[in-house]
Amino acid sequence: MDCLAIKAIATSGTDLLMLGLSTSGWVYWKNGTPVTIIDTTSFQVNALATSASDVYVSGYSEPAGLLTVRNATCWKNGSIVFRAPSPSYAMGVAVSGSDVYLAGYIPGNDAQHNTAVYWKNGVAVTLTDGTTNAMAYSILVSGSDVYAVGAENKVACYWKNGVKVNLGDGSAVSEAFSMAIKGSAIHAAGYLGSHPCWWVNGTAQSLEGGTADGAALQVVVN
Amino acid sequence: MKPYYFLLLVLFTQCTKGTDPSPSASASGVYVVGYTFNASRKMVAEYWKDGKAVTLTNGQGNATTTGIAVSGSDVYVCGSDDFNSAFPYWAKYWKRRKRAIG
Repeated sequence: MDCLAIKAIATSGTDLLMLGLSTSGWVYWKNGTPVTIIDTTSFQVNALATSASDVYVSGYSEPAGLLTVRNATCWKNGSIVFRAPSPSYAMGVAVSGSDVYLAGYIPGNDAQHNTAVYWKNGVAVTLTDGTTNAMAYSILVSGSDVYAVGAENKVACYWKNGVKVNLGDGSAVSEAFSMAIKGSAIHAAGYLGSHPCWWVNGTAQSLEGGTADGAALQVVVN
Repeated sequence: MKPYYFLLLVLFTQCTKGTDPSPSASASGVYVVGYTFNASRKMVAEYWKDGKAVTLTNGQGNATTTGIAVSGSDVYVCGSDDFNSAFPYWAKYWKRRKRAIG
């Protein structure tokens, strides 16, 4: 089994986990050993999270020829845990205790009316009302607080327990793809205008060479 | 799927040189991973530690990152680079900035 692509990486204790595409389909590798992700239809995967020895993967079904059928899906140790009604897309995943969260969006009737959403154990919590274009790209749980991060109408933002906090000021297009929390600092990564952006508590920070065009895709705090 | 091949970049901060902001210090910090365009409009994979850039690819092909993880003093980055892609669908694994598998 050869590796064709790696979409995400994480460490858990001394374990190294990677999510990607192999010649045998979507898999995750735990310390190099592949575990096949099983589904009854074609699908895509996007992110992974770990809890103890369990590995959770987010993604969505993608059956051939049916553009309207996409089901946000969560897999645990390679098998489906839950699948949201169609149409829906899952991007990020987080685990807290026995609860698993997916972040994503529900497409509207056109590409400009997506609803940002997260699912807690398969139950949808909508973050926007469908009149705007919003997506949640990743999710994290800190204590009892649930943070989803993304953008609404191309302004980077996060939602803390469903309450939106803007990161961009709307003067340029922006989106946030990832966030991390350490102490009182809320970090986010994305783009602002055409440039990579790292926000701390809503303030854009300096990135060396960051005046070039590009994007920041993930932030972690060690 | 575009004819890119994909890389896993495994970087040990105590071994990286040049632009690494703290080659022997603790890996504690904030890591942001992404890409920028160079003067030739090629996408260059990189990460920033506390805002200081660490370039991962040579800028001759189009590259990007897909994720980062930090554990202890080890920094792991996965991504892709289409430079010299004789085997466009084969994954590559970089260790200490050198491709290790693929």
